[in-house]
Formats: sequence, structure tokens, C-alpha cells
Amino acid sequence: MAVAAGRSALCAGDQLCSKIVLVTEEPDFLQGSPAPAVLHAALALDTGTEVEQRVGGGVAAVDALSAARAGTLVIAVSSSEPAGAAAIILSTEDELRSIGRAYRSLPTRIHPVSGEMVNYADPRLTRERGNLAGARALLGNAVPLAVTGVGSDRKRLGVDTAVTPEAAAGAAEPLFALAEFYESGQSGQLLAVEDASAAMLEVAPSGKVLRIDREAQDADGLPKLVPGDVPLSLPAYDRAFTAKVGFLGGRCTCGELSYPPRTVCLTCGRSEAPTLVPLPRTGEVYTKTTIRTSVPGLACPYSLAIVALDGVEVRVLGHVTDAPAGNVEIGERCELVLRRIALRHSVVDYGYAVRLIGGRQ
Amino acid sequence: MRTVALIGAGMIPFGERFEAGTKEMLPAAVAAALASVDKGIERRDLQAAWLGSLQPSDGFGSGVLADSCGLLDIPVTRVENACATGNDAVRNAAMAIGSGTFDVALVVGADKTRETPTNATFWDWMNMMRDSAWDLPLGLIAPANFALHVSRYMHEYGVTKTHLALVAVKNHKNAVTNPFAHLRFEVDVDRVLNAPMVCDPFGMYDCTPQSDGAAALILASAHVVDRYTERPVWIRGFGLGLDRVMHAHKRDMTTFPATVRATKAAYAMAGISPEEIDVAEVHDCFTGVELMNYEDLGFCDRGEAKTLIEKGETSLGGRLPVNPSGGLKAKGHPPGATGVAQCVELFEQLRGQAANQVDGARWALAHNVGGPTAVSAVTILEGSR
Repeated sequence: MAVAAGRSALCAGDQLCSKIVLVTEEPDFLQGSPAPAVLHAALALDTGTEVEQRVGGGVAAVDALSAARAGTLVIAVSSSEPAGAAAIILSTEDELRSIGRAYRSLPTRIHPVSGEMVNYADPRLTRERGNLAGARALLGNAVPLAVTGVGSDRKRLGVDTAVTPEAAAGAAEPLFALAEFYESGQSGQLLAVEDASAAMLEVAPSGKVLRIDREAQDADGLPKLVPGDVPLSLPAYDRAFTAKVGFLGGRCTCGELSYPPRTVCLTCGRSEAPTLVPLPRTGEVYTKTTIRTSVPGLACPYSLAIVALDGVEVRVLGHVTDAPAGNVEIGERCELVLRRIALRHSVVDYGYAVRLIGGRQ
Repeated sequence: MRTVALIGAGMIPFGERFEAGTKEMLPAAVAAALASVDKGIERRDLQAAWLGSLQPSDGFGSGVLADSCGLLDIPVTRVENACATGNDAVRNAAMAIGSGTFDVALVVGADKTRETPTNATFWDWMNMMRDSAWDLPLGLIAPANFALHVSRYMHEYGVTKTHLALVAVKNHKNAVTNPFAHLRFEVDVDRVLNAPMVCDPFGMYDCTPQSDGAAALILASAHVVDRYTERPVWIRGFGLGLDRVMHAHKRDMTTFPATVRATKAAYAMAGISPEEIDVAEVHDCFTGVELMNYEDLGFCDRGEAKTLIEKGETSLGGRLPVNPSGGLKAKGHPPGATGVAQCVELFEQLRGQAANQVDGARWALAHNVGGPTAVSAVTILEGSR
């Protein structure tokens, strides 16, 4: 999700990205996180680009935004329902200015390092002493145009909010709200609430929405993970990583294109490291199948497709994503998107999956 | 090269053989092969042995063969070449005798797919069949491996699931009268079409069962054959073919180039053309694969396989009976044993002793294709006149 959001922000504009701040509510890893390397490879960033990871929800996202300099790409990922991700790249430092912050502790949602998320089972306490108390601590006489992190309780604050991001919650919600500010050309204040803490931003009218990609998937009918594990070789993971996560082919001096990149060219026989080049990300389904038996360590059922990429003599094999298993036909148009392919001995294995985009050739 | 013959052949019934490990199955199959030699043979006549096995249970395969069969004084080599293992083991033994190194040799094939849970065995073995970083995590399991081919094949040639079902109906019918077969019951087209889906387009009855089993052959040089039998079966040709290991690299998925390569070599060596084959045992791990094989083996033109199965030309009594034993589909498929057991069936066919005898059969062909559809082995046999 983070890569999809980041790609939307980067691809749509010409702003150079010098730093990434990734805000996640529930990071997959405390140590050994693949996130910086995956972002670098998948977004084709300059090797000097710093990646900073922050843990938190809406307030953490607003903190990251107010601290960001020009050229910083802020990506926020919500894992609470509805899950989602949003990204903003800043062109000037004046766009967003912090006008207040109130940290308070009333831990009604707790996620211990080892264990499951615990929600305190008292909505009234959560609301009156938590969220709304946090909001009121910062609100004063301000009249924010958007309040995030409180859901429909925003009405109880007595503030008439013009901007209410739909279908968003958690860390990404303030970014969705900002997108609506920019879309409607408004300037004003944004108040983000997370547990009992709050942060407020002054939003200048200079921003513009580069691109909005909305992806949604119904959680019902999703594949079920079958107990078991997929064997992993870390050296093999390492050798494949750059080309696999960056979706890069190998271009030989003679022009031959290979994927995965080959060290010995099939056309001219040269034995040298090929130049890595980006591959086209659209194509057509050449063949497919749907696996309905149970495969240990994988979410079943799932569909596989071989896609002939547009304009090059390269085909790729991948999972069909963002669609129920079985909904794929030969000849369908599709694009390749970064996805989590498997969890192998607790290591997240990323690669490209096939997303159908409608139409046939 | 010296001419090489099969002088003995035997196997144990394929099935869920929970009572027998590799160390029990090997001696049983070897004893059956030794007992089939017309004029008798002593164990000490065997000068070398090859074991075909993907993943021997009970530990170190070559050693288990030597140890369990009392063959400690001869060299034993294990062959592993995915589902082409059995016929490749035959090829290796035939070359060793043909070269003059040995006069009499043993080939045994064995595997136990029911030693671990049904959803684990082939998945565990995938680790040696798929690229670890690129293909393994995608869950390209064995049926999917073939389904990607058959989906495209059906799309290009207007082949239907009913055509696939007809292969299951034919091979199940043949297995009923084969006492060594795993699935000895008939199915009809409706039952095949209405079975639970495993891997589109393959339902449960389109798939081979997971079988345990072992089979053995005794090979001899032409100049010593008379000591053992008046009715040898001659190994006239063999071939081994390879192909790209990643499915995304296979340009035309309506064919198995490995089979085409292996077949071309085997026909050239035997000096015959496909029209001369009277009976064949081909790799029908999934129904649609048997149809593709008809074309790759030269039994018909491209796209004509559906006509062959529709007209019953590959049924018993047809122009070219295919898989009279029941095939992998119904006889069963312990991979290392499969190719060897095909030759056991054809040994009996060419000597007029088969359970489902093809009248007057003179030329026979055995074929495997496997791994990431990247290897094929073909053996061509001729009966004594």
C-alpha cells in the first residue's frame, strides 16, 4: 500500500524526492524491516534518499507533515479498518505549519510489542476522556475545517467541518483530508486526534492534488492462509531483490532483454552483468490458472497468470491481485503492481502481481 | 553401440502402501523382475544397478537399494530427473550395457508420495523444482505447472473440458482390469466434470492420484540374451529432452518442447516414424497433458488430439491404444517408478502377456514429461518377431 501511494505521488508530478517519511500504525518489523530497501527499489529512488520510519496514527502523520521539508515524501499507512494509504510530496516548507500539539495518555488502543491489539471496551470513556478530550485540549477558539481520528463524534465538538474524508481512518486519514483541502482549493486548519493526543496544522492554499488513486477491496471472500511455511533461501532472496522489487529487466549490450536478468545472453552469448532497465508495467494475459487446493504457507485460493508485457519480448508470471480468485481470462488487459507475495519464515517476500484493468485486445 | 534388450520386468501394485517403505518396496519389485526371466537368473548375474527416485524414503537411496536387495558388490547409481526419472534410468543402464561396460544390469524405480500428508508431499518437493526467489513463493504447484499449458492449449485449439474428461474415462476403464493399478474403478464424463476443482481446468478426476510404488527391469546385452529368454524385448531408441525452466520463458505453451526433442532423438535412433507405434504409455499426470502428448509425439497433427480422443482411436481396440495400463491417471504415479512401470507394461504388451493386450503389438513407446515441464524422456521398444 505504501508503495502504491508513494508511486501515485511521485509519478504524477516532477517534484524531486529527497527524503521519505513512512508512518505506519502497526509496523511488521521492529528489526530487519525491508521497508527502506523495498521503497528504494520499487520507487526507483536515488540511492542517497533517506527513509525515516515512524510509528503512530493520525497525530504521528501530522507531526511528520509539519516537520517535513521541501522534497519530502510523507507516506501514511492505516492498518485499522478501513485500511488504506496516502502520500504527499511537499514542494515548499510553507504549505503546512504546526499550530499546536497536545500529547496526553489514555491508552484505549494498545498494541504491545509481542501480542495482539487490545481495545479498551468502554466507548464512552474512550470518547469523553480520550478522543474528544484530546481534541478539546487543542481546539480553543479555533474552527478547523477538518477533524480526523474521531469518526462521527466530530459533531460532538460543536465544530462545523467542511472537509470530511470518506472511507479513511488512522494514520492516512489526515492525508486524505489534506487532499480534499487541495481539491476544493480551501485553506484553514486541520485537527488530528489519536487516542487522547491531538495536533493541529495550518494549511496554506498553495498545494495541489497531483493524483488520486482509490483502490478498495471487500474483505469478505478473501483467500485464507493455509498453515505451513514457504521455504526461503536468504542468499537467493538477496540476489533477486533489486530486479524483483524494482521490476527491472536485464538489457545486454546486443539489445536482448531478459527477465529475470540473465548473466549469459541467450542471443549473443556475452557473459557480463546486464544493465538493469525498467520494464513496461502493462500487458495482456497469455495464460492463467486458479489453484483451489490448499497450499501450505499461502493464502488459498489464488489465481496465477502469465502476462505478455506491452512492446517487449518479455512475459512474467504472477499472482492475480485485487480480484477474487478465478476472475481472470486469457487476453485481458492488466498492469503489474508491487504486492506482498508471501511470508516466508517471517520474512516478507515482495514482488509484482497482476491487476486486471479492464478490456481485451 | 551394442544392442540391448529387456529380459525381465516386474512391479508391485501402486497405491497407498502405508505398510511398505522404500526398503520394503525395492526388494519386492526386484524379486518380481527376477522371477519373470523365462530361463531364470541369479542375483549375482546383475553387474550394476540404477535407482530412479525423486526422494527416497528411508534415507540414502542407492545404499538402501544395495542393502535391501543384497547388491553390495555392484555399483549403484541414483538417477533423479524429475518425472522423467524412470525412463532416464532405463536410458543410463542401456548406455552402460551398450558401451560394453556391463552385460546385465538392473533398473529400479521407486517413490513414496504418501509418506507425508497429501497437501505437503509435492509442495515439499517443489523446493527442488522451482526457482527459490522467483517462482517458489508464487505457489506454482505441480497441477498449476501443467494447467498454465493446458489453459492456453484449450484456448488456441478449441479443446473443451469434455475432451479432457474423455481421457480420464478411457484410462480409468483400462485400470479396472490391471491388478497393479491404484484407481481400479470407472468414471463417466459427468462425474469427471462435476468433481471438485483442483486447479482450473483440472478437477479431481483430471489429476493423477498420489501413489506409492516400485517397478524393476532387467537389461542385457544381445550377446547374452539367449541365456535368459527366447522372447526379449529390444530397446531400439531413447531420447532425453530439456526445456526452459521458467514458464514465463516458454514461447509456445501449447507444446512441450522437451517432449519434441526427446521424441526426435528416440525415433531417429530407432529408425522408425510415429505411424509405426502400436501401443504407447504416455505421461498423463493430468488429462489435458495426454492430449498435448499425442501431438508432441507425432501421433497426430497440431490441434487434432481432440479428434483422436473423440473417435476412440487411443482406446483399447482403436488405431493406437494409449495407456492400456490405466496410465498415471489411474494406474498411479510414484514419479521415480512411473517410467520404469511404463516399460514393465510394454514388456508384457510386446510379449503378448498384458492384462489389456493390444493384439499383435510390435513397436511400443514410453514417455514422461516433468519437473517445470522442462524435461522429457522417451524409450522405444520392439518385440521379438
